[in-house]
Amino acid sequence: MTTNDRFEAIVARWLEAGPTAAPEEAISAALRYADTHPHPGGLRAALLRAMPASGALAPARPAARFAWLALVAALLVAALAGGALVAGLWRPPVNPPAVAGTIAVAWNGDIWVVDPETGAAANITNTPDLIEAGPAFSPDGTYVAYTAGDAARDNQLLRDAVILSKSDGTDRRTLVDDRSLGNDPTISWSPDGRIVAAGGQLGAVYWDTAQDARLTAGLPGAGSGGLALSGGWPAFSPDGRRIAFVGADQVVRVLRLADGSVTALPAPDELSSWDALAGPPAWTPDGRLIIFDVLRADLGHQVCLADPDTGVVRAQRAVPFHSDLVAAGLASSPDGTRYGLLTEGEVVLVTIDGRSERGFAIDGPAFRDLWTNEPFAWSPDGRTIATLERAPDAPAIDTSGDSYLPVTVEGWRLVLHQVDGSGDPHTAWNAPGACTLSGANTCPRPFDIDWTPAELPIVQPNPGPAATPSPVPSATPIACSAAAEFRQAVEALEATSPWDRRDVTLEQLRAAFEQVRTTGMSAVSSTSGALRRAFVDPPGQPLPDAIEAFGAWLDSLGPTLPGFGSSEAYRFEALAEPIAAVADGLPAPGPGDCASPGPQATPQAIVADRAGDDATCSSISAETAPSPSGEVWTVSMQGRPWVRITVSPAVVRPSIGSLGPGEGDVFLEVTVTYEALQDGVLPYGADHTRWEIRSGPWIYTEGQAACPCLTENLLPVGHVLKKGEQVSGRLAYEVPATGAVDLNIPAFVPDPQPNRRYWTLPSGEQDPRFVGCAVHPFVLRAK
Amino acid sequence: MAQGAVGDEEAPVERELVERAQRGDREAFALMVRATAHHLHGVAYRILRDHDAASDALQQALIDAWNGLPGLRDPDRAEAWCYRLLVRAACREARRSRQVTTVRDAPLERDDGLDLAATVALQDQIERGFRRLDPEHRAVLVLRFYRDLSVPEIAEIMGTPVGTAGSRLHHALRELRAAIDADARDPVGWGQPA
Repeated sequence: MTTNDRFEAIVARWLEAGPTAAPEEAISAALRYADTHPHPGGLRAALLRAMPASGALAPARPAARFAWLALVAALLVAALAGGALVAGLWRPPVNPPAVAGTIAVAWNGDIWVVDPETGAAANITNTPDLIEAGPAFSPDGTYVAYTAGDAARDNQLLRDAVILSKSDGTDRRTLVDDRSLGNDPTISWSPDGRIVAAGGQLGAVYWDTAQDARLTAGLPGAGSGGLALSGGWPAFSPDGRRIAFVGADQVVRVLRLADGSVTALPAPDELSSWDALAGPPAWTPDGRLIIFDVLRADLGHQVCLADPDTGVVRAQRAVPFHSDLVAAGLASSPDGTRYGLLTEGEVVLVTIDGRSERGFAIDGPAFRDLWTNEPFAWSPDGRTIATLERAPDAPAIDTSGDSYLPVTVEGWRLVLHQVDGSGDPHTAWNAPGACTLSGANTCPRPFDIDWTPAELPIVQPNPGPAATPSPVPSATPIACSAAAEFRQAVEALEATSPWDRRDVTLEQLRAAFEQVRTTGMSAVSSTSGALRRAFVDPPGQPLPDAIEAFGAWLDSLGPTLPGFGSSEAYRFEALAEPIAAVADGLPAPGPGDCASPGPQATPQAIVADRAGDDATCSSISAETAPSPSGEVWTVSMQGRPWVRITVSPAVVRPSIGSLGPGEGDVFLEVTVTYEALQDGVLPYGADHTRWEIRSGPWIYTEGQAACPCLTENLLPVGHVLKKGEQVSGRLAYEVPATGAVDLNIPAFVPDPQPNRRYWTLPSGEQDPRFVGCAVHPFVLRAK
Repeated sequence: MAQGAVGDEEAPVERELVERAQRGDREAFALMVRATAHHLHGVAYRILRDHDAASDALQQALIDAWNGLPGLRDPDRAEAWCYRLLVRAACREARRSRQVTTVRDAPLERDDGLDLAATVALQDQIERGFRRLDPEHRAVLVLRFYRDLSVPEIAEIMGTPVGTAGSRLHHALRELRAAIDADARDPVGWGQPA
């Protein structure tokens, strides 16, 4: 019995002690409730189950005002037709949803406007090449402003362009195309509808629609004032006289426009700024409070209510960081009595005084991965909340399996929940189409929602010219001094940080890394405990690719190797180097650069030696021979030559971002070339072509067959290699100072046929004939 | 592994019973309640470590079940759904500001030769460590080691992806162990690494 097993057994035995029968009073109370509160009835439930997918009745809705009655009538007609009407059971909800006004939704990269009464909807952007999000109606509903970014960019949070159009999508024009906004920008209109403020985590821009000009003077984020006044996520106060924003130092501040004075609203408990990251602020309608979320290093998400005049900040509610709950979408109700808070699978409504709260479940487990700043909206009368949710019967999104197979996510719908808890959730609109989760790539993330009281016509506009944001600047190498500073900051924090191990979702990880790119802060993630490993981008790759790869790796390890699916995230003070210098990643040092002796500590000398053992698979034979270009492996399967693999000599370089405890971590670079010796296809389920680094302490591998390996796939599953075809890739990772490097040899299926699934047997099991194995090009040794 | 046996052998709630309750049959609902309440309460108590709070959570979960029955799509999964309601109610209950009283149940019966003092000390350490956990983490521990559910089953009840449930279970164990270790200079009981 292992240590863990023993501990679990003790916990299980301890849990056995306790009552074996429920108290009769609790059961009786519930049954009395059932006696006095008949539920809305089985007829309706039966009808709903018998009906086709939700939305089928939508075209039959007549005049919008009577849409709800029409639904009821349709249900009754259907019941009568089926002879299933049981008198007295059906009762319509007491309070039908408030459906006045118009809703704007960011869905699948476009902006849609939806009439919540009729379900009529129009895609007012329809731009496949852009990711649009964060729609915000002007106060009178005439215009809608939103942000847009290049759809081809792998970071969908970076949306540089601010676009303004009429609410039917016409007259679209790009106000600003400015990379200074930073992550996940939001839009705020001045109450008089004159000024559009847009800002993300980094900064803000202001546009005067009356003068059709950008404002710069006296506004946070306008280019002066340093990090503290960078002006992220600006929000106009209801009277238009103040602007709340988040500085790059993570302190919420309030600018009084009349005199330019600024009031800081620091996170409670005197946390240092980088231990408490503030989210977008939201005003209560009376302007007396500002609500914002603080992501604390020691606690998790914490909802804070601040007095903008006195600067007093009151922490009200905490959502544990490591329980995968998400605090997002803080928004005050129109009457200012409470605010909404999105956690995993639930919207919680909390009164401003914090004394009571209530929640309702939403169907959307993927919100954990897809959360946004504005995931729900209050109706203008405050009676209803709109959310974008998955259909209850939609297949579960399980990304815990193989990350190469895309998962189509569909069945999203705009759902109206009555705030007072009466009635059932009402589907106002079924979102068309689907988005695809593929590996670490998510659907277009933004599901932001805005709700205007204006009754707008829903007209599908003609596609207009796409507003194209500026191209992403090319990567700017950073100086060695910055790399050294980066490393020193990491090590300093490592020595003093009270942070413990915690879960980091891929989205959080990506967001953290984006801060490296956009704010000058640095973020480093390491797996918990076993591998205290810094992660920096592989040389030659833009940082987001590295994030994706690392996130996918974490995702793939998490379900199977407890302890390796968790990681640490660190955030650091801004580097002394200009922000622009680190905005596009942290390229690895080149020869003669950081590798040379200098301010950076000399790493422990590491060599990559030949391991000396060969493949031992029964289905595959591999022979090796040295060559001028490296080591050549000739692989045969079942006697048929399959592939020739050339592994270049390993290049070992010092790492610039090591978090390891003085292990002398290094970058290991190698080029691997595959040459097919006959036609074949890579079967799924085999150990296909990948690169694994087996590292030091495998403390979590007890009883595990798999290893905590860093993997990189050069060839996709199902890829058909033609005889003579060559595939080459450079692999470079920061690796531990010691450990073995495995190169997995793919099995293959000869004579591939189209439309055949090669990865499993009909029974669902792997075909043992097509299971690859690993060879060991080198081991890493300290000199 | 500990079994969640509480009282009578647990029998699945029959689909017909659930469907009748969905149609508003109060007697069917009562039978449903009688069939599941003891198990639900056992879970609630072990999450909350408080008899009164567990009763409140059970009562709320049963009321939620009555109100939510018409919307239950898969009557075959009614039991998991009830556990989900219960866990949710228990977690909410745990977040209330009520002062949780310490309840000491019958001591563990040790058959492995450890002395009574060590047993009591271990109980205390586990109790204190367990109370430091978030309600969600307590819930996954109870579902796993008291109800003996698999991680996918826990995920269904908790309404999370399987990976998340596994992650929570891992963290719960680790935090419990860390809390116990932090609580005692000489942690009792689970021996040296194998």
